[in-house]
Amino acid sequence: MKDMTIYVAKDFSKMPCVRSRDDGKKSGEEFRDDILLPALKANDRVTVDLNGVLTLGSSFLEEAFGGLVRKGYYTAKELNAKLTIKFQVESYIKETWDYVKAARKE
Amino acid sequence: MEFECKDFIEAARWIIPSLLIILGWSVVSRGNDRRETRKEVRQFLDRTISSVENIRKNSLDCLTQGVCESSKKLELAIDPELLQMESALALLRLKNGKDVVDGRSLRKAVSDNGQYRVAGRKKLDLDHRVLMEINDSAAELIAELEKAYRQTYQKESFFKGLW
Repeated sequence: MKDMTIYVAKDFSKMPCVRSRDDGKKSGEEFRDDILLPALKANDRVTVDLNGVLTLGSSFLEEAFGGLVRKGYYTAKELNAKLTIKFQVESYIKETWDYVKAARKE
Repeated sequence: MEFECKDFIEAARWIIPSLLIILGWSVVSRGNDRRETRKEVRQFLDRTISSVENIRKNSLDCLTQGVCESSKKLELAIDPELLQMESALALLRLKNGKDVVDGRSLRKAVSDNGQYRVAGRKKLDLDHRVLMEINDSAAELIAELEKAYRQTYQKESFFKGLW
């Protein structure tokens, strides 16, 4: 079984907060399309470690993770089996999974 | 060596007062510890509430102006403070019922409202829905925190406080 961990602060940005590429650099859209999606496709299980970031916008989380369902890449059930999110503050993890569960395919 | 009744009485004259003193000291010491803990939690809570107010104020100032240097400076202040506030709430672990009070509603109202950090956004009117939601979320969070603090630290009975 192939596992991979993405360390967001080190591999992407310490200040991820905007939603789409139009809004600025290091967006949720950029993270999802350029880093998370390739990792999910290439591995059986992916862990996203958010520890070390200095900011974490709700719109970033919704686009990066909820967007996986909205864009039709994965269902919430598939992500639940494949994806683990780690962060020191539990409420962000709950929030992210709420976005995944609430997302509807566009 | 046989112990007579008077030996037990003699021993009790020393042992019982000693036990009472130890028990009394334990009760006072625990009471002091609880008071100190409550004071520290209250101070930490006050700083967190201050942070909530600051986030509210900065968010309103940011969104009631168009995208400019001043609004971007406010964004740079708001984003880390949201995370710090949430970390502080996670440390406080104040509960209303079973749920730990967290800042999700406020964070969502500030950073996922379709306006904040969106390219080309216009300044919002003072009666805009988004601004109202930020105000409401901040006020609700503060109210929840105060309620949770009261429930945790100010409703204990005398005897519960002893232990």
